[in-house]
Amino acid sequence: MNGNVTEVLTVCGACTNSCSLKVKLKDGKVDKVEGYAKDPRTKGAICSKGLSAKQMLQDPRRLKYPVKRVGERGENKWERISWEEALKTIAEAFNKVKAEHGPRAVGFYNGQASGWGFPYQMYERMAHAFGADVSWGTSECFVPRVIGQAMTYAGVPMFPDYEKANMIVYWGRQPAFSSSTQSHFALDARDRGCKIVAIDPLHFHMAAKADRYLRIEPGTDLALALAVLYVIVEKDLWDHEFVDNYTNDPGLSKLRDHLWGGNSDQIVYTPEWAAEVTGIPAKEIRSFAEELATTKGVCIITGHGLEGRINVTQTARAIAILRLVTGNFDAPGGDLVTTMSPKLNAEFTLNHMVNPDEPSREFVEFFNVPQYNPPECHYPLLYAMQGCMPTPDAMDLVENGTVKAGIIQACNPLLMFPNAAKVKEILSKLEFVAVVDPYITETCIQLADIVLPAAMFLEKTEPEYFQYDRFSPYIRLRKQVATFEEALPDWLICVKLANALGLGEYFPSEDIAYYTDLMLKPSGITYEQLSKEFWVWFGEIEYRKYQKSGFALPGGKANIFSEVFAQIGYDPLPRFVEGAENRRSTPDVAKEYPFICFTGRPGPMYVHDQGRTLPWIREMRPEALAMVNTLDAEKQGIQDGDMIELTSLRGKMKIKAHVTNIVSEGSVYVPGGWPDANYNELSIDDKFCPISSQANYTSCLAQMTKTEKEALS
Amino acid sequence: MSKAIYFDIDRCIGCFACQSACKQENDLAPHTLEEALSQTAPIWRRVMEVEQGDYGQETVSYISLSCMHCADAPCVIACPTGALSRDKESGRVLMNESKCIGCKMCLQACPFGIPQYGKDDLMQKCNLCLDRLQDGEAEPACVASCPAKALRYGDTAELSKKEQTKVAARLVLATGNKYSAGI
Amino acid sequence: MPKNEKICIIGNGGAAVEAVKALRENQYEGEIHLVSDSAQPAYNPMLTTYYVSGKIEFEAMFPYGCNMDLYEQYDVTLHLGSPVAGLDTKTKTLSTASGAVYPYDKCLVATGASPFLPPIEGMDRERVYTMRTVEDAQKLKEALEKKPGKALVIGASMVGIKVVELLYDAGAEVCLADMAPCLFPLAAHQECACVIENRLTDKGIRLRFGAGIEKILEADGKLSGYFSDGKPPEEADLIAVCIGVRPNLGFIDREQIEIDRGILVDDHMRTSDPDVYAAGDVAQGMNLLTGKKQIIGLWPNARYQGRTAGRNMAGAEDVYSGAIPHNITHFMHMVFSGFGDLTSGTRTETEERNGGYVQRAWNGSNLVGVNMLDSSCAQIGIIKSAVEKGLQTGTPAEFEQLCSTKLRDKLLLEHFKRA
Repeated sequence: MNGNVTEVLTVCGACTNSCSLKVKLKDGKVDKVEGYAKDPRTKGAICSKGLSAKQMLQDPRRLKYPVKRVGERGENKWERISWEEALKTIAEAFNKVKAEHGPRAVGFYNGQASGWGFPYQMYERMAHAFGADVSWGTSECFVPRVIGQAMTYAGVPMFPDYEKANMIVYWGRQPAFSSSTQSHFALDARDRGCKIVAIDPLHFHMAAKADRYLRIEPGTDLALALAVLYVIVEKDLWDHEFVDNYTNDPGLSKLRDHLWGGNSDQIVYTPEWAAEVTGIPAKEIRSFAEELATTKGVCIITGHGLEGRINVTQTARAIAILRLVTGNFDAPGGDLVTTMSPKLNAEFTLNHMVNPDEPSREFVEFFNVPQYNPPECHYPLLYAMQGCMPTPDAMDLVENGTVKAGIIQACNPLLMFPNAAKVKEILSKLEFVAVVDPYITETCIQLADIVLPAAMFLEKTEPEYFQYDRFSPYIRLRKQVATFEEALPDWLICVKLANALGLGEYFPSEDIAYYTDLMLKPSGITYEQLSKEFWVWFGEIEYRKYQKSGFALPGGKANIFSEVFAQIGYDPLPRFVEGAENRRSTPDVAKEYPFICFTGRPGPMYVHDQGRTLPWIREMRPEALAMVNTLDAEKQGIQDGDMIELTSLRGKMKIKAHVTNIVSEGSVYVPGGWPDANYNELSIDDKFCPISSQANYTSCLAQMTKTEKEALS
Repeated sequence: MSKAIYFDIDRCIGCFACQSACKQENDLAPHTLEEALSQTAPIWRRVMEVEQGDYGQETVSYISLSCMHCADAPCVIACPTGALSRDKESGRVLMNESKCIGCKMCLQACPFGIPQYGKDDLMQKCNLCLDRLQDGEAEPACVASCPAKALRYGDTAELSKKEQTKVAARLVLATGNKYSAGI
Repeated sequence: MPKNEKICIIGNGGAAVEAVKALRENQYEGEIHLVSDSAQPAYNPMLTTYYVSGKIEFEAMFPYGCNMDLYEQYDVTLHLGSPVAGLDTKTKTLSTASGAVYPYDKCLVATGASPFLPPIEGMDRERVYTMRTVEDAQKLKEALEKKPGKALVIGASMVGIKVVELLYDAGAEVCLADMAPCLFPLAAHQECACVIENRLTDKGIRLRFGAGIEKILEADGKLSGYFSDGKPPEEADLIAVCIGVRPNLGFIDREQIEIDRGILVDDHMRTSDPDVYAAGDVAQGMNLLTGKKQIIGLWPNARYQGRTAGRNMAGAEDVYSGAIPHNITHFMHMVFSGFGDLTSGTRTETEERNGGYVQRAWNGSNLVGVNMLDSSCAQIGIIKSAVEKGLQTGTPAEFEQLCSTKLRDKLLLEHFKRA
């Protein structure tokens, strides 16, 4: 051992699962990172993404300092400027727009990469201080499912009780990609007899290990859920005690009626019906439903595989109902609700500055949502979950000229939003755009006037309570162990920009301790405590909390029948709705575009479009590969490695084909986030879930043809 | 008693953490994007997806492959200079870089295709985290990082015993008995 | 075994040393007498070209150590510089050229092989070199110091190509000749050989194939090699002859021990005499691919055979069922690997993808040989192992997609799958 070796415990930020990370430094420089054996969620594990952290510090493609655009948008020419000049320029542009058109004429756009806990709250604080709401990031993911669950049992159970589970269902979730550091729980459970079920159009990774694999047509999960409920009700396998005492549909009379054709389409949601929709044989649906309902302790772990569909919220509703009727909600071996943050300062995000009628609250938990529906927000339920303007509304506001300038943090809409051409067209209307990112992305190239270099997770100190799987009631401090040139943490950029905007009274300090203490005030947890103790636990894992506290829903009971939906005018029980483009509901489109072309995660080593410039990671999967079924490939003479062209009603793209049976016949899978093979040339941007605003962006119909190789760059 | 890494193919979900961990631990190339794209850098632990079967009967497995530190290592026999040797106590097949002439006889001998070659064209491969374990860490980097706990490290006898216990438990379950004790 | 047992080992190469180690590691406590014409510790003939080119130091030619420590450690009585003249299985003695006689209870013949020199005029000239022994290497290294302008290498073999490389790197103009019509006549298929030949020609190396050397003359300080095609001779400052080796078994009585090309051995390394074993380049064991016995003059084969002989001589049962002839060599920024005999195939398939090159030769549904170039060589060990195991167990692997990534992965899966 040479050099002075020190260890720092921090929190990984390669994704939002926030695994504990041990950083080893040699002479003050980051030498290695690894997991933390004592973290009860990870047991020392760290995924391929977190392990590449060192190369994030060495990436020559990272933005080192603020830049100003030279020439026209799209030329990708930049001039280095000082932070002072950058912030001054942005502030002047924004304040000018504010003066002429009001604060809501400036868009504050946000994505996943900076994190959904403290950094998001700081961003809200800045935006609200300015007088505007934040937009984006929630229509796309997670929140649409949250709505469905919130309506059902007023919570989001994100703590699977793995140790007592006898069945774990991965429904639209691939644990090899997302929250892999919890996969050991499932595999340990399997060792003692727990069954693993995977419902996934792609038969690989954990799904290929499942005891029961259901290959489902993308976008039809709602049909499966309804058919499973049908079988459970038909065979009287539901938990009578729980349903009768704790839900608003004792005896399941309303649900039964609904499932037996008492819905506006008059469809009886039988397994036979569902088989036609999902492609899963009726026998298997029955068998699955019976096994699920008769198993004591079932975790249903959902993921982004359910998203990008116009039926997303009702799908989440149906699955939530499934948890209820099987007695697995907040039960041993099932999915538990946990306290998802310490008591947070309700005033931290300055909600009263966007909502003058903001009521005073003692504290908030998890998200701090202004208690109103913002102007031009047509999806109040989405906003009510996370305090974020729905994307379609936000895009409309740009398109119709209401919003004139914007700041885009931690996202890359020009690559990741559906219908890339249209996105560019709309966002190009913004007169002034600032982007906060560690890299010059497509969004920067096409839109930005100023780009501010964001720090990556080893380069910032901030409190972290957000997690994704096995959401546990502890808060930790992410600790800065490195600096990258002039890059700054997102929260500090908020502070500095806010000051430049003249909002310094709300951002009087550049000390993380100040904001940490302020945000955590009602909890009694302090920055000092966190810096000494690494983690502080603010809650316990408890079963069946509803027995004490009931359900914070109309009637005080779990809503199998959603009172709130009924009031608003949405289906109070989940009615089956097809995705926007498929063979059954758009057969004319299917004639010319016969393949179900869908997208999703690009693999275990990538998050969205991130990681492509990290050598260790890129080596693992150097290029985009579409998955083409062996039978389809044979029909068209496509061999492994051939280039194919995919076209949809929106556009076309080229990609290399990987011929495999992981994807089903008649489907093509395109991994997301690849600039040179962008699924979003094909995707649907204008059909939305009416409840959550989510666009049907992960699945559409396409035609596939073999094409010539292009000259390799 | 010799130590070894045990790879449990039934648990590996192909997450690539081990490949990343090994790269970091040994500071392996690639260090530039260009080198990564050239696909020529040495990989000491490699994750592979193996698909078999026709559509409808397809099976997909994942293998995390690294030097198996074979008890009767063919590479040791094949090496002309004595650069490769096996240390019985630690269970490692070790490379003495100063003796390697890059002849690639080991590559031809190894049933797993393990030998890798760096820019100097000399052979390099997993050394069972010799330095890391000497520094006091309990496990090789790949084992420590594995999210599925598919990689395990320890005494060969103990590893065997654990595996036997698990298989026995499966047999018990398969025959319909409820096996409730923790393993 | 009782302490007064005597085991004699004739020879001092890889086979002999592995036999020594195996004897002692299997509790043989008797005497070990090692008789060798060489006076040096065991060396590896493969390493001679590396020494000549300067890639390794002198000491590195001796993989077991450039000293006698190993023999001391394993309690071996050495009789060095003592060529064996005769072996009598009736009296169970061996006799040396100087008249010494050594009795044995068991004997291992591991005398290796020597370069074959065609009996032509001029073969004995000073500047005609072979490349097998340490002395050969020292001579050629010295010759290189004189900076030869032109060099002729006779024999486009594995050894020949390494000699070509070191001469080329030393700045000489090189001509490579062989009686066969193409390079690597024993190891490569003509198509693959052609690919390599083109690369050599691109580098300015002259190739002269299809004619054997007939005589070597010297005039005005220059050598001239005349070939059977009658074309103008090759001028050179030095000539290296690398056309193969012949086993050193002149002292063996063919009436006593069965000999074909080499000394025939079974899977225990026993010769036709129950107390005499043979191993290494002098021995003729099983070629798993052809099912016939063949000398496979490869370093690992010699060591396995020596080890097997040693174990059996110590009374511990061991079997070595055979090997497949294989080669891997890298020279001038290319790598060639192969196994089997591609010339014996009735059908070949070539695959060129992603900068690699793979050629497979089939005889009906039997794979008889594989050639690989460059990046494809990464798979050679996996496939060779699969072929060997299949042949050893009588359950040949599926070879349909051999050499593709798919099969490589599948073969690896077999290693890890549980029944």
